[in-house]
Amino acid sequence: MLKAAIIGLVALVIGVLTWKNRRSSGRSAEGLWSVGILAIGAVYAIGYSLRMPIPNPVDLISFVFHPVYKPIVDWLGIQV
Amino acid sequence: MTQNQQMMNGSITTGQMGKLHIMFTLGSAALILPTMVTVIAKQDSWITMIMAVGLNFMFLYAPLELAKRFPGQSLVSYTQQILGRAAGMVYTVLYLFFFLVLTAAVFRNMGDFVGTSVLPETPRWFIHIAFMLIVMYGVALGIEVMGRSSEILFVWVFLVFGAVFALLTNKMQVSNLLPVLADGWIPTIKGLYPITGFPLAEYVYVMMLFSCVRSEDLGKLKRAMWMSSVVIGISGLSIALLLLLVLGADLTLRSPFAVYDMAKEIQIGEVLERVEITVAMIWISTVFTKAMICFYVLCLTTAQLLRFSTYRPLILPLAFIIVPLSLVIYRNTAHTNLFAFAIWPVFGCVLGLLMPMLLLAAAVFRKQGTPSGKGMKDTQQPEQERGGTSSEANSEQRVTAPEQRNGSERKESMSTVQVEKS
Repeated sequence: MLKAAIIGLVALVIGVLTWKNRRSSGRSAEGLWSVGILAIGAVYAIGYSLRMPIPNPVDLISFVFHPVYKPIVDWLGIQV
Repeated sequence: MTQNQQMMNGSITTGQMGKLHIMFTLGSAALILPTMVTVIAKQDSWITMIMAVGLNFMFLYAPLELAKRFPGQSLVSYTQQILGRAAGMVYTVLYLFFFLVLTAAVFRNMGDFVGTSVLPETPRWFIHIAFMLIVMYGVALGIEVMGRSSEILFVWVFLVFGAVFALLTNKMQVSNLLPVLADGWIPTIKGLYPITGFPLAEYVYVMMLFSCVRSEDLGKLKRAMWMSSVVIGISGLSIALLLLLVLGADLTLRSPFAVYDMAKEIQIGEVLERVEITVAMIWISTVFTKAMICFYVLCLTTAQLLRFSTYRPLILPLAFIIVPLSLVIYRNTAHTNLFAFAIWPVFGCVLGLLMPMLLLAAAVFRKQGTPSGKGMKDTQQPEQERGGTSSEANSEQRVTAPEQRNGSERKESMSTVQVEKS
């Protein structure tokens, strides 16, 4: 729980600083995108620290390419 | 300096590009790849490594041709030019996903190695965060610093590999290579499968980095990349041969980090021993370069897709995604082997070979770009005439606009001074 709180706090500080920096440069859209990506990362990191199930892109790739790689692995004759 | 290079914070020479490419390929591949190939090709894995040199050229062909057609432009820019804005953005998002997974996988490989062999008591998250901090610093400094640091590290990498080679000559047994082609050519050809994904399909990163090569050096780019492919081929062959000669096929395929275990064999009397940590340091330096390039390319692709004026505001947010992702990307060693061995080559071949080839075919068919690879203005002029489909073109127009305004103001003030004088 403490880890999650620290991650959230750090993300909040970085987000505020990034937003202020971009807004002062007259690029608010960049600030919004940056803070949005940071929020996704922070949720991901907090989810990991709380041992919650978080989406893994490798599972998506495995699912999509399942019909292709299975025959290849069988042809190669390796056990993975 | 071209428009892209302004965003990338500098430009590099073809020599630096070649060295970055060598470091990128040797990073992680040198330590993990021999085991993967030896599992399939056994004692003939060195023949597989020779055959892989040809594949190097095949995977670099489409990116080099696209770089020639669209000099000074990156993947994000020319895909939108070739395919149109919407399709180009979808195409780029796929690559964004690829670079995201690749960066996380490189961090995970490094974390696994350091956590298993060098710092077994240290928590993995700490290793990943510490490594990420250094990578972030390197990426923030820009491509020129990365190019120069790769030039320094390049010399040390080859010095240490040379020293390891020399110190292990007394442990080599030629009988380990026998029998040659005992099961025919098929296992040797099958051994190419993991190589196609790791590292060959990862070469697609060059489609982002070629745009930062100095425009006056672009003519030499192809030669530099071919040369680096030859160096990579010779290095891969040397490592595979050395592993087989020293450890033999059985030990090599059982070791997750065979080169590191091979360095443990170095023992000259009681004077020189435990030098494997030197190999670990060198390996970490190559993986550092690879991680830096992957993360840089990820930041740059995101920045160009979202039309940022610079990629720097994205470094911290993307680091927040990469670190936890690298910790969860593989569940265990079996899952790592399944993904790296079986799935990644298929996924990599689609994005690293098939899609660039299709993009090149579309560019040729639609007569986009300049086949002769003439100056940048030739390719960007039609784009601006069509209303500007390139993300960098738009973002750089915004960046250069104040300077142009200042320039025109200066001209105006100069002309008023001349009028006053007259």
